[in-house]
Amino acid sequence: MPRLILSPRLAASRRFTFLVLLGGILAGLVVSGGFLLTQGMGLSDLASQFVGYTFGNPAGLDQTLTRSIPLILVGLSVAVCLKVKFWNIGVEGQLWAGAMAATAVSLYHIGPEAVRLWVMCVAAMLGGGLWCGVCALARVRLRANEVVTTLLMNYVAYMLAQQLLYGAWRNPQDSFPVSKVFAPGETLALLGFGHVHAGIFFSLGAALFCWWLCGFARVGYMAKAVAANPAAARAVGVPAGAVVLLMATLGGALSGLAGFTIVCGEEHRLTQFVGNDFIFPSIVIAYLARSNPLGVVVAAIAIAALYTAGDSLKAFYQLPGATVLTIEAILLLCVCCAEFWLRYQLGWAKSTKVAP
Amino acid sequence: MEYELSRIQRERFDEISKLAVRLAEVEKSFGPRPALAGANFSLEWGEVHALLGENGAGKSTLMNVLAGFYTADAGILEVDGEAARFETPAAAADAGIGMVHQHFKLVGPLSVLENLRLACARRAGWRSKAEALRAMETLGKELGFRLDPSARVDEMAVSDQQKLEIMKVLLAGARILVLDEPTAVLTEQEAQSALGLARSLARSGRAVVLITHKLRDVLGFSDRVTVMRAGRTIIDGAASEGMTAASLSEAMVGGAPVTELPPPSGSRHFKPEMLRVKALCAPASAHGVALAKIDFSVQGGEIFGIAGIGGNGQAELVEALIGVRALTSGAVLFDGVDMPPSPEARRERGLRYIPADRMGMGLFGELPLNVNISLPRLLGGGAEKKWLVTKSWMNGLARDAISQFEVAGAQVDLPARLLSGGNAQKLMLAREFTGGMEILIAHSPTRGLDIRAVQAVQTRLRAAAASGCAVLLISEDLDEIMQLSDRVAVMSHGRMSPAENVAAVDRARIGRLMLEMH
Repeated sequence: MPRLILSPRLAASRRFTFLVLLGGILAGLVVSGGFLLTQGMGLSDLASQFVGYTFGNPAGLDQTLTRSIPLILVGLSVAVCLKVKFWNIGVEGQLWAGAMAATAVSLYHIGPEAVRLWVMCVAAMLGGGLWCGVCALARVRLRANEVVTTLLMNYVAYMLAQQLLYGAWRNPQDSFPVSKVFAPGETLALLGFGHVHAGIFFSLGAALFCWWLCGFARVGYMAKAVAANPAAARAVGVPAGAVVLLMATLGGALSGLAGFTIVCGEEHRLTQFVGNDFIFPSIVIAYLARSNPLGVVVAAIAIAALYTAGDSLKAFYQLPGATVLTIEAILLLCVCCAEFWLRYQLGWAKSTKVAP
Repeated sequence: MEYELSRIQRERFDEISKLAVRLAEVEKSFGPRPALAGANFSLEWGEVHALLGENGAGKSTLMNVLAGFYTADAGILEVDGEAARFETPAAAADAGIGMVHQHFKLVGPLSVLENLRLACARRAGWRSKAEALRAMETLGKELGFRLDPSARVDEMAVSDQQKLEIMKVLLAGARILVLDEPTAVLTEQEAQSALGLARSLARSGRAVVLITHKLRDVLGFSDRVTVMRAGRTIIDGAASEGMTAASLSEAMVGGAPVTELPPPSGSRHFKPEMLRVKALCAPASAHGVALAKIDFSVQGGEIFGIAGIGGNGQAELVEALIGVRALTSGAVLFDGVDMPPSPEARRERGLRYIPADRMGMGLFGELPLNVNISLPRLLGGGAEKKWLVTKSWMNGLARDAISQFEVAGAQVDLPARLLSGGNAQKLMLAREFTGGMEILIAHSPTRGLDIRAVQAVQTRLRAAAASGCAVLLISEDLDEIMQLSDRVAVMSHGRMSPAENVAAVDRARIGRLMLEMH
């Protein structure tokens, strides 16, 4: 009698890897759709909300693209760190640090006015880079687990922001816990399509830069080596500690840049809502993209679309905000499960002869 | 009439029960590659049966089928005359089959007795510690050795750990023992006694399989021998007596018999001293030993051999030389100047390294061959590419390396972990033998390789020395040291004996130095 046997797969081709990823996402969408049907939505509602509104309608597309700007950057942040197996769970903290650094430049008039926006951009990247770099240094020097340190640094940054917003940076005009509005020269220009601002060029530029860095610069290959086998990397002469430090700092800088795009492109000042709800999507995006920087762009836009659809679900179907989170989790789980087939394969065993 | 029948029956019964194990036409594939393609093997009660073959010949796979670690895709398995099929190792153990793996399955931080109770309590039916202790003492008397029941396993010598493994499978009720490369990790003297133990176990009515690729183990200690090649049985249970090393190696390798590595030709020209190690002291690694005042030097064009049982400071010495272990005192000089401290700077000065654990410390298993080969050329100030590393450049390098070092069946974009041991080592050599090699540290470079791969590696080491490199060869294989080295020293307990010319040393004395020097 033929039997099904499960055996380890020797190597998965790129094409097969892509198909498995696609299969996982499709399965996730089907399961999510099923979940939404149980919540009282019809099939036509699903199509109109998820496809029609998010991509087909200018307002929906505007919302999706605007939201994708920081999502691309935090997704890249996690992806770049993952290249050296550094789990960056602290994109929110780094984003806050970047936003605060940019705001400080504006509030204290640092640098000539003509290039103030660029100074803010650099400051934000330095702030985010520092926030993550400290954790990388702790890992390289003290072997501190970065999952714990980057996670805790989120709270440090958030508390610091609260301290500033309720203290030194509180708006003097109305005493609300927000900073003063930035001067016109300190904001990112709108592109004439809803709220979409020039920050999108920073996001796409960053994705291209990371694509080049990971795939074509020697640092990218050193990172691969460190991730694959740290001991061998060190023995062959890769400065492993420096590579981890560099990639993690770059990852932090990307999250800092996300903070910059939010305060300079959307809010035009530091508010309480600058750095909320980025940790989970950043990990989902990096994972869905398999840490490929160009894949991050696609995944980030898809997740942004999900949030757009989620907003209308809240408004028109009275579904709670957690619905979107649930769908994200379903997608992530399905892709995780699909990856089982990258490591194993199913086949028929030849019939076993019975001993005479 | 009745008498006749019963005689035939009895004869058939004798015939069947003489066989402890019969495996016939066994097939097993992992993915598209068949590991076993119709292998046969029979084991009689009371014998030591050597199972010989190159790496990848399928001998371990076949025995893993017997021991229930794998299930065969097709074929017949009989144990003591009865058809059997083991889905799990536990099922095989219940049928009296015990396997001692090359990498021991012991719990390091636990004691000898705790390990035994953990593994055997259920099958042996022990209800108390005292009962277990009694059983252990009884078996120890039968086998003729004694282990301290309270000793921590990870602090014991390797040979004692092996004895514990053997006790473990026997106390769990095994009457059919499979020993996977039992002499690979032992010294000459220890190997002799381990093989003697295998023999006495067989003589007491059990059956022992000896998986090995050492011809000496076969000729000196087994009753019958089965030789496998490419998943098939080439010699099926022939008497070991009357076999010669030449006939066995021909069966193993197939085609033309493997010739001995020829002695180095012509007169050797040594260049001045290139590597000098002065009073080097370094701390121990986990479960290792500290280095105490190591002194030696290697000339250009010379192969300097360091013999010794593994775990006597060789790993620490290698790490100190390549720059990943800090020294407590002493110095490492290169051409009379202090070596720079970092591994990357040492590599740029021409230091190359072949690690003992090639997948752990050398290659990147998950990365494709082309990245494995090109990585060193991307490092340091002399990097060939910095800002634009292209696939075509990497593929070119990898193709050159594959053809030049004859890495069989390799594809540039497949992960390195798919290579067999020998091919992985060739890839390792191809990567390290790149331009600017001045000092080569080779740590057990032929461990676990088959005859042809061993020869390929040894020829490369000779060629490296002939081209003027200082070669440091660290190996547990005394034959290899004696065959390749110009001078030899012995490491034991973190110290090193004075170097001697290989022509002037006596094997037996080296063996004693390996064991006794404190």
